[in-house]
Amino acid sequence: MSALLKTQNLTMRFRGLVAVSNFNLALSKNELVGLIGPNGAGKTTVFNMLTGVYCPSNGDIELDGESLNELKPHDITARGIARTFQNIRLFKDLSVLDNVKLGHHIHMTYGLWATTVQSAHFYEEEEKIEQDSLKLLQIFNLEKMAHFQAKNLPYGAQRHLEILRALATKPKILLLDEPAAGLNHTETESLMETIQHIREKFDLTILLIEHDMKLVMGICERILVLDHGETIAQGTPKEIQQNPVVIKAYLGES
Amino acid sequence: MTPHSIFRQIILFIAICLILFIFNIVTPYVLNAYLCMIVIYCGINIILGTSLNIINGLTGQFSMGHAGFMAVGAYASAACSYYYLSPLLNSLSTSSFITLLVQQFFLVIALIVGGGAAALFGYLVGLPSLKLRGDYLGIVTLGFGEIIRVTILNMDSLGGARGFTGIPAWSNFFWIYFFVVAVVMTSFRLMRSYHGRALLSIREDEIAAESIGINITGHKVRAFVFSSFFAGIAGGLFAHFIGYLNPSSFTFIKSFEAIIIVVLGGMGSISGSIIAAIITTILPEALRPLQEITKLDFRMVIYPLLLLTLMLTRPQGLFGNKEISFSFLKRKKSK
Repeated sequence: MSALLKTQNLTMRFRGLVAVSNFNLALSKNELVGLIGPNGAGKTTVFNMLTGVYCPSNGDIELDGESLNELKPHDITARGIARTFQNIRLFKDLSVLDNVKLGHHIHMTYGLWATTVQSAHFYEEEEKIEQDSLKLLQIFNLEKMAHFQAKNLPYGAQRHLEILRALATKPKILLLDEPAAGLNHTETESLMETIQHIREKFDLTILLIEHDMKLVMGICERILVLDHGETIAQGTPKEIQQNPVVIKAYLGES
Repeated sequence: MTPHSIFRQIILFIAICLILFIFNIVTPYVLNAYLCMIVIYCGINIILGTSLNIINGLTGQFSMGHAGFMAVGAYASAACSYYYLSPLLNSLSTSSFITLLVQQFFLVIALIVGGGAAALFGYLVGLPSLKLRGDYLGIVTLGFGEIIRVTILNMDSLGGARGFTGIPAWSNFFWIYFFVVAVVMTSFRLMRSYHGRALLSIREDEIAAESIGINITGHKVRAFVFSSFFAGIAGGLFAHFIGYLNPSSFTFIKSFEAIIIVVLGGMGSISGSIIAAIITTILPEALRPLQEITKLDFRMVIYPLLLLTLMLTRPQGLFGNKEISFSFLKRKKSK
């Protein structure tokens, strides 16, 4: 089976610093892959290159055989890669519902004229995304808070909302940057279930960065380990747990 | 037929026109010329404030050159009607009623020309806003406004420093408030659409906005084009009401007046901009008697002091980012 997302020798240099070097990844459809590594290993840089925030210094990114190099972030989202952020980036002053509605942006079609005269087309689409957004909010039981300002949500709910906003773009691939950061034990457990649930429901391929080993080992089918920008290991959770190179990177040499 | 059909929109349109038309006839009898003037200035300032609100309030880009757009609109529409439309109107030797109708039509053309010219400049200024943010954009737009003013100052065909005289005074209460309603309604509808939500998301977080597929470049430029189009129309209305234009009406102080309206009303609140525009127009006039009593120009001491107190007590502006809501009316209807 050919890979959905493929990167070849992806390298990111900031002047003299090599943040990521020769990163090779092949994501098949419906896979759930974890990307781990100590702080500063270059995990988020990989995400930023995949979503077009950074333009890679070297290497290629291909989605479904099409090159994503030098595409703008919004073009990449339109092609089916959505992401969340390590430090939550919600539209804080907007309502929870508006945040999810904004996720539907790329699927809206009515024009400015339809907006000005409030045509039937305008109402149909607005009504549709309102319903779709409320349905999405039900995944994390947020529908009761739909009219809250996003900044007033509890921390965990804000993380959930960010995932929903990304889901609203109807992506093929979802990139989650530390979805469990700051969540407590029970919240993390329910998040694990939800991640698997949304993967099945929306037929998603998921790549996630996480420090919570229980989550990573629990749900990922395959794990890549980065350290100082180099891919030091990849394999199933079991293999990674026993890999001496990984243990050394995390715990240091004894 | 759905409640939101085009039919309903047309009824609404006709109703607004009728109301404005009645007001247009009645106002001169009810108000004296001075009060009429204040009402007219209120209207122009509402358009100006609401249009700047699209850039500063909704999109969160700090533009300080709004007077520049207004000047472009004013001079372009004035030149259009002075050099082309007015001679054309005079050459038509028909009954006075038809002349009156044609004149209204020509006014709209002149305004659209003015708005279009301003929109073109808005596009040109919008381009640097892609790279700049915050104070830096403010400085660029401020500079732009001054460039426009100085350019006009040196254009002899537009009157230069003497001012542009002889502009046909075609605009009146009806047309000014017609465009007030049009601009306010368009902004409201824009804000409630996905186009407007995209602008809001740019204000909130550009990186997040990009990550959900919003073309921030395109939307920023669009915001500038819209906003300057409306400012151009405000300028055109102003020119055709006074019949005289002078570059000194479009200094950066005029831009700051527009910014005061937006900030006072609350960034991103259209109702706030409207109320603030009315306050900032009426307040200096209402303080005039004070000047007569004290024989000193206290006006420009009290006015800023009042603004200062307002901003200290309500730093988020009169309305924050809220709007006057009519939803309670709808709820009653459904019961």
